[in-house]
Amino acid sequence: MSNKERQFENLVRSYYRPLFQYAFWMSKSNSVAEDIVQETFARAWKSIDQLKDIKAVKSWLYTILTRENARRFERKQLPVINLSESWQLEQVASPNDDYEVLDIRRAIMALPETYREPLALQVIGGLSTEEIANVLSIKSNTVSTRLFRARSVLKSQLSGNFGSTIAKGGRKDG
Amino acid sequence: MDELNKKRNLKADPRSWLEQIDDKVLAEMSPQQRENVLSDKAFEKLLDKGMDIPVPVELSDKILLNQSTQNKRFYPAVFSIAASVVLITGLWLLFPRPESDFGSEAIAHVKLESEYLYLDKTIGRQTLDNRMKAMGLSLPKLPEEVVFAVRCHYAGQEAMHMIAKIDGQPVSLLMTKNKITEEGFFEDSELVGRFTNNLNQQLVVIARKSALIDRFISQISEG
Repeated sequence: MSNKERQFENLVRSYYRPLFQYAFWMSKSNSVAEDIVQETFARAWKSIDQLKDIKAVKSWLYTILTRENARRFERKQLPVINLSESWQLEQVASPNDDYEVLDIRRAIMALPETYREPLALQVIGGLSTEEIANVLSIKSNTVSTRLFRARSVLKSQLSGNFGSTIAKGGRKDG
Repeated sequence: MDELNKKRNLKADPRSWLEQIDDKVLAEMSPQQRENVLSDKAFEKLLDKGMDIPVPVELSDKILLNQSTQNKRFYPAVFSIAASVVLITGLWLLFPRPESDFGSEAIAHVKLESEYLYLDKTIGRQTLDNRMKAMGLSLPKLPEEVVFAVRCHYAGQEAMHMIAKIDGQPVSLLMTKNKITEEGFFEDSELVGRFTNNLNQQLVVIARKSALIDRFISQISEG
């Protein structure tokens, strides 16, 4: 196995999981997310030699994925049946998920994409505001505003049945 | 202006400052401030759980396999694993051995996949847990450092082949849902192995030294 191959395999093993989760929240579909992640790594393989700074690898992968997701709408597509968001959420639910988790997933799904995108990059990818700005090609201040609003919208959506957890400071999870 | 930026950053990235608030700082806050901090912490925790959706367990293998078909020179782990599974199964069919020879099969399996013994990227605990759950397997405690965990074929059934590191030394585990008839130890000139059971599953642990096997078993045992 060459260095390039080893580096690529490490990249896949290290990042496929968060990239899939980010792709899911962008596409709202398990199967589309899987396709996008595969496309992302196919592109990453082609241009891995151009990656000069290993520290930038995370942002680089999220940038490729974000573009792949956008490219989806440019391609000529066969008519597809859009499965409902609630059906997609059922596919990722597990019997151990409590009500608060199911509620916040519904609320995240309902967020406008402009809020959901930076929030997913921050929460799943652990990207800083500046890194998110670079990935999305927008200003840092805009990212900050969108992150703040995303949280505000989610909290307002959850306030009705989230109050008890808030009051206990999250101790409910034990 | 700086103060405004600071406030904006705090609101945009509450995690960075919430992490800095420990019990001591919390105790010095007013009841209202404390309630707000606890509320924000609970919200961030819930946000993490909400976004943490399950990931298809075979996705990484699928990506690497796709890559290998596009690039003939690139033979990633999964491709070699598929080849070795075919080889092991073929040998098994061509040269039928006594039913008690699962030790030799385990050692042959580890040697065929020896290139993965020296991987150094640790697999996340959640990933490992998901892969095991997908196969209906579990351990009382997960090993501390696992660098390889894939589905394979052993003793005539589906198995998980895991490689853990103890003090930088590889320890291999073959794990099946159904028990096999073997017990005790086995060895060849290079490796030693041990059959053991846990939660009604069959575990076969292989390493260069039996001390490593003992330490591995102690890592995954309860208590």
